[in-house]
Amino acid sequence: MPRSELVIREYNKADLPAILKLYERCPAETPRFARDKDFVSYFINKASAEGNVFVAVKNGKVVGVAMVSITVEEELTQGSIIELQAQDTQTLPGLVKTAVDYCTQRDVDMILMAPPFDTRKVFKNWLMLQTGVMTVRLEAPLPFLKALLDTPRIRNSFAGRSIVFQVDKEIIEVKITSKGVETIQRDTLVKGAINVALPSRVLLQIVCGKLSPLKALLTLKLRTRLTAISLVLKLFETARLPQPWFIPLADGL
Amino acid sequence: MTSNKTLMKNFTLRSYKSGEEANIVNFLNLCYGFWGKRDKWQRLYPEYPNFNDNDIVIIEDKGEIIGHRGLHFRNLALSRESSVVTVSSGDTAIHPHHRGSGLDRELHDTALQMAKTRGAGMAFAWHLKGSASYKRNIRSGFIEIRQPPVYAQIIKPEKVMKAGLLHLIHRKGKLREALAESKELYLTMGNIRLSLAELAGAKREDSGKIVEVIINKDALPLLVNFRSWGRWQRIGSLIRLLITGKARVRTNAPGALAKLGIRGLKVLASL
Repeated sequence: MPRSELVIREYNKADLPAILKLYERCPAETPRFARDKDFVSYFINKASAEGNVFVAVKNGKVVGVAMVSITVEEELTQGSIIELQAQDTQTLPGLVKTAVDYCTQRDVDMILMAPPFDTRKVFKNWLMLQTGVMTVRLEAPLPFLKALLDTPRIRNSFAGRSIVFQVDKEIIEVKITSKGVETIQRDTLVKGAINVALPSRVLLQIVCGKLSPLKALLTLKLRTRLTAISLVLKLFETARLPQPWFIPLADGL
Repeated sequence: MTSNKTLMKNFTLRSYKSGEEANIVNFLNLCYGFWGKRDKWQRLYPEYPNFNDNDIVIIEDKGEIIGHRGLHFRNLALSRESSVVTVSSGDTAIHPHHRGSGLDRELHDTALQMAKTRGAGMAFAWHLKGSASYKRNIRSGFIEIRQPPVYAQIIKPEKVMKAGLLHLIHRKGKLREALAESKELYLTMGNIRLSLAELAGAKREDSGKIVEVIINKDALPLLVNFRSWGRWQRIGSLIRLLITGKARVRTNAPGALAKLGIRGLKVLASL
């Protein structure tokens, strides 16, 4: 049987559906901004206007994509691999090499990229650059709690539970069933229910792994009734979002 | 925004109106030194998926733009199954004559309140660590999210150094003032020699006196994160460069060097 070869070539419009399938097939392990048709097309158009787009193809299937943008600011010509997606680490070096060769041919002064997963071993000869800091604040607890808790793991472990969160001044009842999670805005706490009170900042800190729920309890940043402590701790442990977040350069505005 | 809103000092807050793109880009370039061209703005805003005019928040004073903030709405997938609407803000700019008046804070609060009413569950922002906007956001309930570093390959260290310096000098008024006075001070890397006073906007004056800081090209890994560090990390990296021999000082005018030594403290304090 002939060995399947990885081919890297320039993108053409017919590749778009296959690229969208690639994103569906390889969901991010950490939170990620939307990669639906509108956004992927937007990034491809942006890269095509400023640079180029490359796809990695194996056995006739698109297994990776790299979008390169070249910009000139204050006399500095910078090549950026603004979007890089691959189904495995083996596909990345070839894609990156093609993108780097493209940038070098265009006489860039520096090249930047943000890989979609931990690739420190693959790209050992690259410098590590701390570009900036991403900060986040919770604006509306209801949609956030719904998105955070409506996952199979939570539904399987906490089906039948009803928990009332008081986040800052908002009171939200979360009803978990095996089929879904319902969130209801309330005016007052629900008598007899499991009530959990915490500021929105503490909720984010716990969910993002910056504060342990136990420490939050001990320091009274998180309050609940004594008999519910183990359940609440387990809920927050299960809901914790994986870190760090691999955010492509295309998303850093 | 269905109607204009009146802010402090009777400034008006409103959304973007088609036809004012050039004014907005000129304003951003005034505030940022070099922000970019119209096509960049066009791609960042009107061409962005789901863009609507309310995504650009403008503060106006008697018909003149004195404040700008861009909002981007997009979904953040928290897991395979669920996502939340988020807003990311960027390109916040206040006219230099109106800085320090609290307008920035009012623009920030109002824009986020508007985003919340439009369904945003989370708000994101990107900063340089330690910057004024970073500190303000942390004070107002934002938390920092851990992100892996960006990978970089530097092809032309000299140009990267110059661009980094220009960026830093533009952001730090006190550093700019201190360097503008240091007409004897030059920075050399490879075949490029930069007059720091010229970079800071002063006119060239050739007195023949030169104090030259020569930086090896292999020092770049030590300097590459200079922009995103805090003051003490910056000072530490400069000391490390001298100690490790990756930077050295050469002069033909010891008197000028002594004078610069005193001014150097001013430069360090302004980093």
